[in-house]
Amino acid sequence: MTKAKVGVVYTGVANLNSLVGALKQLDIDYVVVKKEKDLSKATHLILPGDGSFDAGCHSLRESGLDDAILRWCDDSKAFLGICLGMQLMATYSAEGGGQVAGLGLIQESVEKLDKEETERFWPHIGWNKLDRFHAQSDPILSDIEEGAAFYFIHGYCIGLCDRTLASTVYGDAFSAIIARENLYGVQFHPEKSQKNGLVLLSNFASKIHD
Amino acid sequence: MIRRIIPVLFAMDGHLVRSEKFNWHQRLGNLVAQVERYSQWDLDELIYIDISRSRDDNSSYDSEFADFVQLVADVCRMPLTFGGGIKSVRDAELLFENGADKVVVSSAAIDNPALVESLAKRFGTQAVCISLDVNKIGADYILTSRCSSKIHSDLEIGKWIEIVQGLGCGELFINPVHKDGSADGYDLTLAKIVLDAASVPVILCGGVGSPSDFENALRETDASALAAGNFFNFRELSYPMLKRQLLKNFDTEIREWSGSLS
Repeated sequence: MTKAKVGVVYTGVANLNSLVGALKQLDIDYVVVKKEKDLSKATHLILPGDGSFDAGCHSLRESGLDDAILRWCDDSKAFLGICLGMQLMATYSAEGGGQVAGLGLIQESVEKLDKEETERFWPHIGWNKLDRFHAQSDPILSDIEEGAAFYFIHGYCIGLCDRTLASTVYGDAFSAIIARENLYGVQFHPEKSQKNGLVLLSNFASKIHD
Repeated sequence: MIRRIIPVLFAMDGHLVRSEKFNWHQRLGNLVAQVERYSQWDLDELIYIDISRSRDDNSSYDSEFADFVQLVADVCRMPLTFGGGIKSVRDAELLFENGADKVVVSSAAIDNPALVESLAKRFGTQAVCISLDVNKIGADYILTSRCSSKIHSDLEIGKWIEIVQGLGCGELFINPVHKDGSADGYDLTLAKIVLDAASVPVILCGGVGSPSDFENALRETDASALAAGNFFNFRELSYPMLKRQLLKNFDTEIREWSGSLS
């Protein structure tokens, strides 16, 4: 089996240090991707993201990496979107007025997290649990159990849908993990979620193959 | 929802310091040497405040603290909040580029409320935490800034919270100057004043002396996070032991501890 080499997309709107630190800690080879040719030796691709949907989309379009990512995913190669990176996989976001198109890797939209009456505070900042798994098993969930806690910091989310692999509850239930073949998205930050996060990243690099 | 337990570390010129009402600082050790230790503790979050330049310094962040941020983010697999004298979008950008997940802003928010809006637009509401620096004068709670050297007696706390939330602040940090260094429990009266007005998560800080102070706050308030400075500085196993105690009575609200004790 080829050793994994994880491409980490540089968007200018995310801090890469923490994610790269996690990959180094796991002894996973990586390459920072600023243009398409940086992808040539990568076996896996991670799209991190912080900040606003519009800024994230704009950055990917400017660099041409939006097309590169679509080509990568069309080939069913291993892909992981983190936080805003997961939201960018959607068609559009209600954040910022919904005028900007996402990558459309899944046919879902991003909505404002509806905390309903049960939670007093918005945005959703802190640790929360993977309440329920929506599939019997998935290699990315190896050694991770229902109820495992991860760190969330967001105000928008993708609701429950056909692509939901694991859900979390904050007022309403929303997608904590989405999956479509080899494409994954996680709303939480695995690089900030201590042991559980490292397990997930390790699973992505070692168990998801094209 | 799980409620976070957060150590707060104060840094001055590369050293960890203990503060007491912003006046007396005891050096506790080299910052960099401590980072490995904190990374083993399975913390819910860590807040670093650089107090080297908070008072009257109007210069921009230098690279030394930014380098430190990068070091912490490289080693620690947990949420990191940084602050202390942030005065511009560029100051905050330097911290985010190097590894901060959230920044905490205090004086600059009162001096220049438009900064809050600029930070929220650029980095997202969830990344902007505003520190409410409060002093108690008689029975009144008064907002202060610049390490308590300026008082804002005409700005009511509830009103200020409404303003910063409207500008895009995503979290509030309560910093009661009058409790700093004392060890007789959180100011729960102040906590309730803030929580009544808040629609964003609130972090309590200041005055913690014992585990029961955390328990009282969990029981009597719906603060999203409980922070402490000095409490975690002087006791080696303070964090895991505290978690163990809190899990006895608040097991659905506290994240389990699975760090290493070496």
